[in-house]
Amino acid sequence: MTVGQGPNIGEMVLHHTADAWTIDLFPFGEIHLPRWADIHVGSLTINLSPTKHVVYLAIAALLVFLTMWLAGRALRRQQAGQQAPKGFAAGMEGMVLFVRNDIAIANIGENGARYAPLVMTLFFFILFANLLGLLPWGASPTGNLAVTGALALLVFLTVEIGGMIQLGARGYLGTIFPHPPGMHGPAAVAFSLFMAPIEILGKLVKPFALAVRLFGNMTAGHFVILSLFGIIFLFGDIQGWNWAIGGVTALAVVGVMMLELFVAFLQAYVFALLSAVFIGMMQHEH
Amino acid sequence: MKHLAAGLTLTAVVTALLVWGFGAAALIPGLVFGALATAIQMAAGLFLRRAVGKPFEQLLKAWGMGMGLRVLGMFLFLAAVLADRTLFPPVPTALAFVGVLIPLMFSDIRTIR
Repeated sequence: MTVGQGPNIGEMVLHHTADAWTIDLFPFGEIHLPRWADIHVGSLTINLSPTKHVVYLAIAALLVFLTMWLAGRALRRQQAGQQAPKGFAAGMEGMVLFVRNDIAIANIGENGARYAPLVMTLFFFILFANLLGLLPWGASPTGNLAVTGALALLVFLTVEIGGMIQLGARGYLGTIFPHPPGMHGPAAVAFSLFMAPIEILGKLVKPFALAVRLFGNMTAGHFVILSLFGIIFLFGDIQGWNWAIGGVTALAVVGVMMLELFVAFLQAYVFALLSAVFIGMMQHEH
Repeated sequence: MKHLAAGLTLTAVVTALLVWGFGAAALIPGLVFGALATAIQMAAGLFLRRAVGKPFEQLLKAWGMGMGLRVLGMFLFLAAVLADRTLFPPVPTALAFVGVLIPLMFSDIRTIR
């Protein structure tokens, strides 16, 4: 890099946060992911080649499986030996019980136990996906709107299909065409038709908010960290100040990284909590 | 002795990775700062082991002394890079230090437990 030809910080930030066909492992080179042929479905062209975020999604899923499998195995062994849970297994048991009892069952109600596996899977999968972005060479798949959108779509389908099963056809239609108790006749029909677009919008806004909140929070954190690093490249050549700029920036980055660690847990909690709340709201709709 | 063996093994592994990534220039910083991280962890571990079972203030003081040594290692890194940037290039030197020190720090958990 020559003096007077500053680095393109924006390009650098986007390069590290955007999805790609390669995984950068500097200084050990990079992994080029396979490119498969396009699939044509009518006028639609789809490419299912794995990208960087797909690889990290698979790693997150594998980590969830390994964590739960190892914790379950350790707990079984400890119970067989008449021992109280301890160490890693006790920690995982505490987290699982918290998500099951205080997020799923507390917000969904009597059907909470039925939905607890989904809420727990969402929590741990999002948590691992968030944390992967904080590791060297790592990336956060949850900083990709397609990923958070797919997770939100899963919640949307669960809310609506679960609602149909719980409320029955008439009860479910009541959530789209509501009318106040006691209102009958043409006034009720007019009221229901007037409310339908608002209710449909309400149903769609919830998953949209879920997707955008998680995507925004995870992307913003990485943008802040990389922008702070950019300060070194922008102002690091000021003679006499370069070490001070480097030191202060490094401290600020460490601070934001610690905040990001907290945000990784918080956003997994918020997504799981709101999913449980939305499922619960639909289950108890009158 | 277990910690020393772990530190030396890590130093060898991290140095090999750094030489692979950054070339032969990473050999000396890898060995020197890997060994420094091992020595710091050995001393910090010794302080901690002596304080286990004693009042909490003493345990905290011993842990603080260990952390102080680790911060001192950071200043040694700065000094080495400032003194001879060619012999101690910043990125491989920093990676050698934290690459050995951080995994070894997990042994503290076992000591306290």
